[in-house]
Amino acid sequence: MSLSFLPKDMNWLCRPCGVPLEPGIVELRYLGNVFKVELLVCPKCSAVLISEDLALGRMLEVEQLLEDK
Amino acid sequence: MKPLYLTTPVRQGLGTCLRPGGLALTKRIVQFIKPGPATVVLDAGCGQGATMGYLHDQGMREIIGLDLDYNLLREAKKRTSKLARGELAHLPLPDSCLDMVLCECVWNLTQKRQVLEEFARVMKPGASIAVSDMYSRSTGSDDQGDRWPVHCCFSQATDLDSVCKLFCDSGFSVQIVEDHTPLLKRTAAEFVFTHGSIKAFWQAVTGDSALAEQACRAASGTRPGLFLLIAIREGLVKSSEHCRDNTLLQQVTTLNRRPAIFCEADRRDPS
Repeated sequence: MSLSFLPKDMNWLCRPCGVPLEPGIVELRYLGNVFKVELLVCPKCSAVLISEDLALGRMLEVEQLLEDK
Repeated sequence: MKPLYLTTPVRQGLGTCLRPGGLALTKRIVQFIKPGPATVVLDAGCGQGATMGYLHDQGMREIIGLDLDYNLLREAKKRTSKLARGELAHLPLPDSCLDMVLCECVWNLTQKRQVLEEFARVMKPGASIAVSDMYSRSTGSDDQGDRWPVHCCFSQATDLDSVCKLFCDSGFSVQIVEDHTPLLKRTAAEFVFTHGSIKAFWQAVTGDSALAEQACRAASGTRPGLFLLIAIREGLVKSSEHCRDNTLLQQVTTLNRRPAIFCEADRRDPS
């Protein structure tokens, strides 16, 4: 499974590296599960941009689900 | 409304196997039963034939597939030729002809007791059966299936003790029962990533917000889990103790025998 969670506004810079973020496939790991998703990534330091919506929405529900809550 | 497994969100999410974990439990079954090339096996509810393709790749050559859905059988035809359309409660097979039965995430959709008795009829004494399906991890009453708004593998799920008892009552000796709920959780998590939430998944399945909420409440009440059960068809064997002339046969039964093994697979510490 590979899902895309790219923001509408793609104009993001990595502040420490000073380079534009680029779309990339990222592995989200939690409790032994791996989910491949497409997010904005810094090509230099590999920092990943995760939006608040994604973190507090799908990712939170997935965490609770895997934790059996 | 279509059965859950035939809806677009489920078919897109689960691929050709149409069950959580794909071939993971099929591989576990083969590892445990160790069928050979001449093992005559029925894939009961074969769907698109993914399991049959895997078994063929493992060297098995006597594989029969049975399903109710013409479209799924048409897909399965690409992988194998020994296919039939029929109900599991009325198998188009003679008595005692099978060495092995696989029934993966199908049993809960059927008349469960009747289907087990039919499996027992077509299986040779000593033959193996492997069933994977949903069970209820809730400690509450067993009538929670009524709350599910769609006919699906969750709606007839019971607790594991009831599952084991039904097998024993139907002439099987349970060999192993394993919990594989992590595979179900992973599938649910993928649905969340795809649709935004579990409720949004059920909304996509049912097309109705109220039914989606009802499904979420049902899931919360039953706490679905995924089990794998492997059992042996009890048989007619010679018993020198009871048959003085060695011509009579005695049916060996192990009603209510507890499973030999119970283990929870893939449990991980959240910390």
